[in-house]
Amino acid sequence: MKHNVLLIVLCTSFLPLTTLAQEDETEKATPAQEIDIEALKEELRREMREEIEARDSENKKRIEALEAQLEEQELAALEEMTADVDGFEKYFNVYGFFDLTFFNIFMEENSPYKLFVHDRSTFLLSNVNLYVSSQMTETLSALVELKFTFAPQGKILEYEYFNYPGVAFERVDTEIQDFYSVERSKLGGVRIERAHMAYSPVDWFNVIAGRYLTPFGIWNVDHASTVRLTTRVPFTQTIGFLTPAQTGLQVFGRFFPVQRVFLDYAITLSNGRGPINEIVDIDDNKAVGLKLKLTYQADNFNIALGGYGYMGQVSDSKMVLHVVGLDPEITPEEPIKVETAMMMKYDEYVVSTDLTIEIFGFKLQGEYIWQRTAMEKSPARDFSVGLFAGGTGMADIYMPSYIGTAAYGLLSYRIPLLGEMALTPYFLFEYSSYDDTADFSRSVFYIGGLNFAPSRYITLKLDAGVTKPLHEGMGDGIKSIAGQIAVSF
Amino acid sequence: MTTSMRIFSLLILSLALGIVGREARAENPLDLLIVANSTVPIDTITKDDLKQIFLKQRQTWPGGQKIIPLHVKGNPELRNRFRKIVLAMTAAKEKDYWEDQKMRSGLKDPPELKDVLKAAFRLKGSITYVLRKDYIEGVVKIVATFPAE
Repeated sequence: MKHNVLLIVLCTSFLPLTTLAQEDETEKATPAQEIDIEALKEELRREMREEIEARDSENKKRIEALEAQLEEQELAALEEMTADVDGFEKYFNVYGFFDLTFFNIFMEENSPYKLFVHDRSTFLLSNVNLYVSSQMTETLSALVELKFTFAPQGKILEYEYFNYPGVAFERVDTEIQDFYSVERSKLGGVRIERAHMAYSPVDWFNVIAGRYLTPFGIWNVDHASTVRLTTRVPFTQTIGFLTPAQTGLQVFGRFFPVQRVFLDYAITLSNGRGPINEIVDIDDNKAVGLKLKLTYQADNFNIALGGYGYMGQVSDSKMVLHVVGLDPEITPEEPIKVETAMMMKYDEYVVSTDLTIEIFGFKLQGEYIWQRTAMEKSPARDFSVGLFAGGTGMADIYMPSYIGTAAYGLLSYRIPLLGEMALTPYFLFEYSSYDDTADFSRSVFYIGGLNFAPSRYITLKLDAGVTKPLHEGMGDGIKSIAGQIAVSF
Repeated sequence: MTTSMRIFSLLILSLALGIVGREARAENPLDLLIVANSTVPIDTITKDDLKQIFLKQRQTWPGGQKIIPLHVKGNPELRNRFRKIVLAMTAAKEKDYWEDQKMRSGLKDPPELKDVLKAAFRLKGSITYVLRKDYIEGVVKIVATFPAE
């Protein structure tokens, strides 16, 4: 500390003397140094130029080297990023949807519609569908859609008839009890909606093998509750004029004849319809179908017109065993013979058309379907249907050949909201006559509602509908309200 | 100078300015460029074809090569611009479209990559979009240009 104080005192003491000496030297040297300064300035300028040029050259070299290095790094990163990609996107996805519906149907106290629909307010979980899709190679893919259901829980097997003893009301009960815990649970079922592989080498030629959705109309292929507007599928679809799925082969493709236009085609070959068509064709007749669909697509205007024609045979047969001792014609040498006896056989011809028009948020979609059934060996009608058709009491009434028609039109307007949200009001009108020999089958339907999609995964729907029978015997018809939440995952 | 000569001169001048204007616009760094892998067998493409490709309505190039459309990731502005110009859709509509396709046929929306240019350079049959300022000469080929507004 003492040393520091001494140093400060010494410095401050000599500072004025040093300053005076410098001033004196500057005054004496001024005339001689004016010339030297100019020369020095020039020299400095030259040196600076040389130094800048040298630095420029060095920088250029460094930039070139860095650019080369960067390019190398980018290429290396690129190689690394795409090393495992063969030119197609390989994937395996599991996803699905389910919905919960609340509905209440209003009808007259003794309405015949009670045979077909539940008339109390209820929650209903009817769709739990799981998809597994995979792109295995560039041209091979597979898709499986499974529908989990609580069915046949609750299905009504038999009604009770007033003043007709011996026939009791019967409903399926699938309840079982665990052997160990004695916990009770209800068994459900799994329906294979579709399971197929697709070979897709080019746009105009693809092949599907397996169980596939019948490529008709709009609703049959867009059946997920998360993507359809209404709470329920139109009667035109559920009536079953066409089998919703077929087991067999389908060849399909797309052509692009002119700008904005594409033509889709599909040729189907399958077991057709039958009691066990998913796994076995009971007759040798294969069902064939042809679909054509023309689409024009512009920015704010799309139109698509399609059609599907189908021809198949529906049959059912039983096996009758002829055994020795029961059939006198059977000998002990050949103790058993199996006879295949036809129980039901008819041909069906179906034509369906569909139209979609989209223009500035408005969407109009419609489908028309026509079915002709030509009986060769008629099955018995359902008892209740037989009665409605004009039958008497318990007499057997066989189904005659018939023609069924149905059509619907659905008009909607999509209002985009914030982000991915959209609100879509809709109105549906429908007409159906599923059997021209049974007048009671003619009805009209009106449904109005709102569809709101608050997020990518949730769709909320609310609608109200009226079903008006066009036959006096069916009473006043029914009214309904329904709300649904559909979830995709 | 006669009146007809004046009109002719003005016409030539306006044409020249128009060309200059176009030249200047063509170099806008915010132009949207549609670029494709060098193996893609086309040199130009229309907006309608692009829409079909990015909606996977068209999945093979002429000759049968698979088309791999690539969306840009992490650049919502560019993604929205492409959606507006080419797909002519809102984000909600596009979401619905893919939800529908997923349930209908198992079809998946195009993959999203951060560096689409690199991916388009490497992936055979791929097609994507970048801004002109991000385009690197010789890496991929330009098949369409949508000038900046």
